[in-house]
Amino acid sequence: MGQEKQIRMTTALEPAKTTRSEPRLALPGWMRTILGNRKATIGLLILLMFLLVAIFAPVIAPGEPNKMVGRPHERPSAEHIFGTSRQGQDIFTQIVQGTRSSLIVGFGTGTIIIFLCIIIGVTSGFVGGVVDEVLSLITNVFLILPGLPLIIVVAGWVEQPGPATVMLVLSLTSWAFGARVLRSQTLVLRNSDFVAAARTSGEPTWRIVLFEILPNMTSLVASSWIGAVIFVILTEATLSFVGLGNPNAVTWGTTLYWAQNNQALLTGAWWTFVPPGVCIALIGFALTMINYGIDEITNPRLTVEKSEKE
Amino acid sequence: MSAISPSAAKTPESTSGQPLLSVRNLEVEYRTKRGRVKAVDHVSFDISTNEVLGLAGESGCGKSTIAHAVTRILKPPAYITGGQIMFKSTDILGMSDDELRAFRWEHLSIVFQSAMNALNPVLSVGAQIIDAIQAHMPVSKDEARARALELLDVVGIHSNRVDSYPHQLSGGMRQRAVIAIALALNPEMIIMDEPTTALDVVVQKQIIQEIRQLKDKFGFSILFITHDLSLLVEFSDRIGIMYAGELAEIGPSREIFDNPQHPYTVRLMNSFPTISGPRIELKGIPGSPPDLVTPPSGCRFHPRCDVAIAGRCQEEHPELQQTSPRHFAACHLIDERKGNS
Amino acid sequence: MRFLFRRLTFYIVAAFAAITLNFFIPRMMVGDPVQLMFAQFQGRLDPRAMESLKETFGFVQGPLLQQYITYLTNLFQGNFGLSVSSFPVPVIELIGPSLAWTVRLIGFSTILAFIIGTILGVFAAWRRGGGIDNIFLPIASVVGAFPFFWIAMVVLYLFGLVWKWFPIGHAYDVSMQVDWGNPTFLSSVVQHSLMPLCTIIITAIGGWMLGMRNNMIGVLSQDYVTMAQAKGLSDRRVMLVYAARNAILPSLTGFAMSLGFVVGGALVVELVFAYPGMGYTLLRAVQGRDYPLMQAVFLVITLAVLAANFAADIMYVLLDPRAR
Ligand SMILES: Nc1ncnc2c1ncn2[C@@H]1O[C@H](COP(=O)(O)OP(=O)(O)OP(=O)(O)O)[C@@H](O)[C@H]1O
Ligand SMILES: [Mg+2]
Repeated sequence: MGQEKQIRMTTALEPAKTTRSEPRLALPGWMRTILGNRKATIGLLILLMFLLVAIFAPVIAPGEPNKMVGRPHERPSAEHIFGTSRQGQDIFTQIVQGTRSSLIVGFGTGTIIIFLCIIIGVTSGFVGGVVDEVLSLITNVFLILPGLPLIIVVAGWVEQPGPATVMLVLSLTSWAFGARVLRSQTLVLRNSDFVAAARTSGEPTWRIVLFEILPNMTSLVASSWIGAVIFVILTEATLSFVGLGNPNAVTWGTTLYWAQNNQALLTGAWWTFVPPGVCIALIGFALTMINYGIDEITNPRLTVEKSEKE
Repeated sequence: MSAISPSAAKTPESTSGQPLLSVRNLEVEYRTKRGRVKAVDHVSFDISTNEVLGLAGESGCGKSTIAHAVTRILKPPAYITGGQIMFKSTDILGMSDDELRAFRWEHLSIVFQSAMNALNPVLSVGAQIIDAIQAHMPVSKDEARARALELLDVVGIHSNRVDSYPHQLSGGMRQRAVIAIALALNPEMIIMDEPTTALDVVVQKQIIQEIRQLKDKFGFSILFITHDLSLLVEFSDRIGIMYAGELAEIGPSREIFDNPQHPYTVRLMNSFPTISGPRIELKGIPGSPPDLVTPPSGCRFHPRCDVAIAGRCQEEHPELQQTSPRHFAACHLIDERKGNS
Repeated sequence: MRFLFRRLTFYIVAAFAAITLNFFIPRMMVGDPVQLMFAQFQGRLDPRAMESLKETFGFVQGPLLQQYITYLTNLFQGNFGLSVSSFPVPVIELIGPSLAWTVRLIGFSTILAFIIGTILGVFAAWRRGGGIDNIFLPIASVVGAFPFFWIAMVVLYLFGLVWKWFPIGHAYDVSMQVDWGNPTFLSSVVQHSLMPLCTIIITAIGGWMLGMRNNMIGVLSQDYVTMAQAKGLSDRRVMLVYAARNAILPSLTGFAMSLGFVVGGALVVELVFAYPGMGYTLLRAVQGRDYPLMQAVFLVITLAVLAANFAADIMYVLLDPRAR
């Protein structure tokens, strides 16, 4: 699904020239490693920008996002820099305040998903046997069932899906890919020397999993988590767009929903649908860059060949 | 006897007459993020018609890199940065892509280190022989197929296996199939990069035996690469010992075996059991091969050498020098011995 | 054959899982689904419709197992129930035409995207850092970051409304009679399909291309490719028979996951273009709370995806002797 695409896209784009002169700040080691990678840094900067917008939303664009503040479909101007909607609402206010809910839903659900992935994937890989077979079967079934139609059907049964419902539905249907990735990594680690050593020394299973297995797949968990966040942000926007969100909520998806429903296209009001789409893409781009960065850092082979050309 | 510099005209030669393959001052490097790995550094050797030159050395000393440089199949990040490779009177390094395409396999072919990886898993063995033949000769599919059957027979594979896929063959059969592909155009020389490493001892012996028979039958030369020195002593006419990208010693097999000149050769000899001899003396070589990004100063072997001459071996790089008519070694001890005698 | 048999068994299990999910989803909702349906259709639905609705979902008196059996029996008799929004038309009749449009549109564009993407990936890897690599990869990465439906909106806006190159909405000019023998009708169908078709291709191509490119790069470093070059084979043969033929195998394995994703996106693209396919029908059904239609559409989409995967498996067996 979405995550899969992100992970497969690894070697794309320009070669990474890791800056050798690292900042001499008292940063923790992992952070310095990440900032040494250009892609990851670009991604983090964009993400930071959105985080700031989300946090300071009421300061940046005060006002009621659904209130009529102008004439319908006003073009972008100094007063309304992204123009207004059919209802005369300020699009800029909607986008700024929508950042908050989009990020909360994205990162919140992504986090729930990654926990499900860890629980299911690591259990499956570590316990093995019948448990593994059953869990793998369920994982594979969820992988092959078309995700979006399933989500739409589930959401369709809910009377008025609020953010919590959307998060729940997305979590329950989108864990399969990450679970599979983590399972195979667990399998590799389970057969490694240090886990075997811990086992023979009689460490309890939960300790092995917590202190031997998980710390050794941090980067994989991190990139699966980011992949899940990208997927959720896209899918949440899609659900709102098709009318399965709360139409009165303020998210990028609902702004798009109203653009579609109010014939924004027919009337030429491009400013109602361009900003939310670009925001979604920018967040997706930023997160993908971070994932590329993680990939390059943990998998240096990817960049070796591009290093020293004549 | 004078020490010869690598650029001097006089270099370790094989027999009299013009050599089939002549490598002079070959330099190859891998350009990596960590820096330039000098995998092959000023290596020179000759191989004459119907001769077997063995190349031995620890893992990572640059044996495969030489093999790939001679066949010109190195890909980035590997670059040939200097030297000359002549095949009879043609300059291999100067060939255009089309010239190479025509030259390789017809005159010079290669057997890769791992047979499993050298065979395309989705094509039958027969098809992989046939396409090599058809790439060089204007023959019909049927003729090429007849030749493929013949080749399989020559290497000891029953002809009903011609349509088998690699995964349907045993390890030994795969290796034989790769050898059959290498023989397809009856080349004058075959480079064999550890052709038997992954196989068990019995199969290994069989295949070596067969290679020897094939060589006698078809009269090609072999550049034979292996870790296994005892195997080389039996199998090759001359042996080259490599250490950290350089040729440490080269000479006739018996001479190397009876009278090794380089301390590394001595060590290497002790670390392998001989095929015929009793399997007792199995001393590994202490220490590990150097990092080729920053090789040790002076003699590259000095940090691991227990007979190193204090001062000199750290400082001065030893060049290959002649110790008997066809025997060369790169070690300062040779001078010392000469001085004492 | 063992491989295909195993895959087939898995698809049957997956289909069964989808059917069972369909049964349990309404029952997992907070509150009584029957009440929910009643509430939804209060006064708008005649009692007969309500009865048939209950029956479709097995909401009969009795324990869960019995309800499940009733539901399964209905399903296997091809009884998907009656549509609520167009009562009493059987759901099956509504699905028929839209399935045909979807199979044509999404089927065609997905296959085309797979082929074009794979070919581009082969060339991008073959000439790494060359034209295709430098032009298409960044474009694919940028396009891939946008939601599919948003690309559809932009395409519709630019090509349909601003420049008016293509007709907008529906699958053909609605003033015409459906007549596949009529060239004017055919040309209308083609014209109406071009924008959604291109949108799906544009959005799906990148993933296939990047995947194939990365597989190829891996395969190109294999000894058998090097040996093929050394043997003197033509570049074309090395690229296609030695490299691409091996590199495509993981793409076919990954088909399952990617296909679900692509189809999901394509269904929403249908909505933007008001193209009367399964996606459009599904979303109409959801908006109109037409539960039987919604469920049936989901099942049919799932079965189609499973069938497509099985086709990919057959391709795999044809290309990889190890799977035979
Ligand atoms: N693609 C590469 N990138 C960087 N360094 C490389 C690469 N391939 C080989 N090397 C380095 O070049 C040196 C020589 O490698 P080579 O494969 O020729 O060794 P070898 O003698 O054949 O070893 P083995 O006996 O294990 O086959 C090694 O030190 C290795 O680390
Ligand atoms: Mg080697």
